[in-house]
Amino acid sequence: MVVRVRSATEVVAYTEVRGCSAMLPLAAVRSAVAELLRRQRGPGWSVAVRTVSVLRLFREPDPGAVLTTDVTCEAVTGDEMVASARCVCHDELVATVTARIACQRDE
Amino acid sequence: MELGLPDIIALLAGRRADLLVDGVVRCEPGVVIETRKAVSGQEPCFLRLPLDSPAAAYAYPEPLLLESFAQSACLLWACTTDRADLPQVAGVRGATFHRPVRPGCVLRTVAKLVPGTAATMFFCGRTSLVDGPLVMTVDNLVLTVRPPGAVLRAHE
Repeated sequence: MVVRVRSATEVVAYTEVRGCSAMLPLAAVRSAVAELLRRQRGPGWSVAVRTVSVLRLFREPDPGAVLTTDVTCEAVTGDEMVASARCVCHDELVATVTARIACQRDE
Repeated sequence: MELGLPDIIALLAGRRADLLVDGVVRCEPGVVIETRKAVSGQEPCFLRLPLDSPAAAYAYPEPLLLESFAQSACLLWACTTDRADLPQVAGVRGATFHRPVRPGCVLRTVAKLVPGTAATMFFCGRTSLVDGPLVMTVDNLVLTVRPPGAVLRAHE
C-alpha cells in the first residue's frame, strides 16, 4: 500500500487488491489515517477504529487491480476524527466509508 | 448444529486463504450462528510488523474483526438457503468497537439473521472474548447475491 498525504485533512491510499476481503476499503481508510497521523504527530501514535457508521460496497474490486481510496478527515475532538472515504477501482466506485477513528499514544 | 473446519472451508469456498472463522459451535438455520476465532501472534497482519513495534501495534485490526463477523453471517446464510452462490457484503451500518483484541484471545461471535429476500439478508450481532468482555457490536450487516455479471467480473 502506498499512502500520499495531500493536506492536513486529506490523504489518499493506493492498495493492490488481493483475496476477496470485503473489508479492504475499511483497512485502506485505517492505514491512510495512520499515515496522516504519523506525518502530523510523528512516531509513537496509533489509530483505532471506534465506529463504522456506514460502509457501502457497490461491487467487488478486481483482484490484482489498484484500489484508490480518497479520505477526508474532520476532527471531532483532539484525539478523535471522522474519516469519510470514497474507494475507486478502474474509475468505478467500489465503496464509500464513514468511520470514527481515535488517535492514541502508544504505551 | 456444529460445524468443523472442513465444513467451513467447503461452505466458504473461495475464501480459504482469508478464512477468519475457526469453528461453529451453534447454528440454527434461519435464526442464529455462534462461531469461534482464535487470534494468534502468527496472524499475517502481525508478521508484517517491525520487530520494535509497540504493544499497541499488536491489536487485532478492526476490519478483520468485521470480516470475521461477515464470514460468520455467510455461514449462517449458507446453512439457511439452498442457493449455491455465495453472497457478498453489500454494507455495514453501526459497527462499534469496544476494546482491543490481543494475540492469545479467543473470539466468540454471535450473528442473528433478520430475514430479507431470497437475494438479500440482514444480520446483527456481537463479538466478545470467549470469557465475556464485549469486543464489537454490529447493528446491521447486509449480504447480497450480486447479478451474475458483477460476480464474474470480480473473479476474472
